[in-house]
Amino acid sequence: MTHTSPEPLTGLRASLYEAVRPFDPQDGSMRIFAPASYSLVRHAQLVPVVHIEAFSLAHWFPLCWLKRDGCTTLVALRTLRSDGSGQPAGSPDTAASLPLALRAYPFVVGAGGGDRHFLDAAIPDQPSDVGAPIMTQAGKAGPGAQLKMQALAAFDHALAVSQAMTDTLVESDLLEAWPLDFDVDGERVVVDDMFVLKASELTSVRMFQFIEKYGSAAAAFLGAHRISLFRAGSLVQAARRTAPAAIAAQ
Amino acid sequence: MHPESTQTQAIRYVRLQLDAATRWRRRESFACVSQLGQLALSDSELLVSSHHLPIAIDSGDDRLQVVAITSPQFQRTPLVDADGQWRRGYAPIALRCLPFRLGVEGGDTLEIATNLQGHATAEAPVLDDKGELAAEIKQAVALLRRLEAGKRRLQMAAEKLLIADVLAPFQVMRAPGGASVRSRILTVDRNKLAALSPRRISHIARDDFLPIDLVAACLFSQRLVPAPISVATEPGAAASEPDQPPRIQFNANTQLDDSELFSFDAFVRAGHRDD
Repeated sequence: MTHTSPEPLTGLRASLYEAVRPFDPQDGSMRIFAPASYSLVRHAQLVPVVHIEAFSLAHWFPLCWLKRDGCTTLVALRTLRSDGSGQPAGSPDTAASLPLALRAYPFVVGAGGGDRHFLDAAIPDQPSDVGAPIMTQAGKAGPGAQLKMQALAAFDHALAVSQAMTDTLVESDLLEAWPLDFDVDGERVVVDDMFVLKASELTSVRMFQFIEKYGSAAAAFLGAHRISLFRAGSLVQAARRTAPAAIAAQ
Repeated sequence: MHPESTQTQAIRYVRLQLDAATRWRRRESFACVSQLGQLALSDSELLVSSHHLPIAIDSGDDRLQVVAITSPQFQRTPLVDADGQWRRGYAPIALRCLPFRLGVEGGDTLEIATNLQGHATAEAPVLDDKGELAAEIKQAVALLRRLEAGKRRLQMAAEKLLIADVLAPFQVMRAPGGASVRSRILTVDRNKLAALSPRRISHIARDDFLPIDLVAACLFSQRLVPAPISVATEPGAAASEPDQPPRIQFNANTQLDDSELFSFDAFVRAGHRDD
């Protein structure tokens, strides 16, 4: 049996964020920008997600589990390429393609609690506008900050249940490795450590117990996960478009 | 309103005569999909189809049938282009096998649509030189048999959802502010689903996960239906029961849709105003 980390996102946070620090009142004058202004939002290959966004993201990416550093995390696999290139058409420019964690950026998901928030000290390398301060002069969160805080709150609110479901799936041995190893026009493209629902266990007693524990929304979430896996083909096609040979031919 | 309401009149099927004199023509376009209104699905193509077409349950004819809706009024963008070419990433088995289908009364009778065959496509014999079904038709028959078996499995899954009372009809608003017309085409009502106890949903999935896949496919593909069509949901059905543990809800505040969460215009305007 695999033991999961007591703290969610441990396996992913270090690779996702650059320099996380607590948000304090002096940060209110700090300017924040539209999500795609930040390199991380445009290029992150694996992004932590929660079950409530499964139906909206299944249209874009495979939603699967990453096992890394002893922690299992539900993630959106946005591309087969580790440099972030080769995302499906429309991502990351279409707002609907952005997982909550990226909509919230540079606020850090899964790190705070209550009124404590954390920021990633990232510089927007492609700002689309002048940005806006986090807090207005009246001391309230500006509209842009509010949108990011909504995304942050939605993620953090759902994270405990989402991670509990993940932990139960792991402990019940309901996940299996998802080998992603492709030959893309002569180039080997590999994504390691990905897991999906074990198809052979869909009608097992342990699956019955999982659904009995978490209810109908969890059952529907598992269905959304299975639907999302059909997006893997789009990732392969997108990887092919960004293959060195394809780029050289353009 | 029923997507298939004109199908039986519009498309004429006859039993395929298996003799050396019988000839047929391949369809030359998929423009007929709007006439068809809906396509029966196999369980093997349920999830992939939900990426491209609205998935629903036809409750007519005294039995349930899981279908992909091809009626134009249920599409945000056309299914075929001006040349009749299919514009979705997946074509269901029933569509690929046209103009053939297995007889609606069951059995293994092969039927052909007399008015879905192309006019410009080459005419071909039904039987080959050895007197057997031509290879292309043989392949269609194999697919249609697989479709029939998959249809029956999906029918049983749909029956479970009907018994669990998680289904609701689509409805069409004829005019802004006007009355809605309910369809016989059913989908999953997310409020009813949320009201289903964990114990009941677990028993629905006990011996067969297909009902869960069907729930997900219906919910997921509802995004493909244009605005005048909605689900006739039952408000308040998801009210919590005191003795139940807190359920995971499709929280209205956190459910995402295709709208812009982040408005650049509002963001910039706010930035200038607050500076």
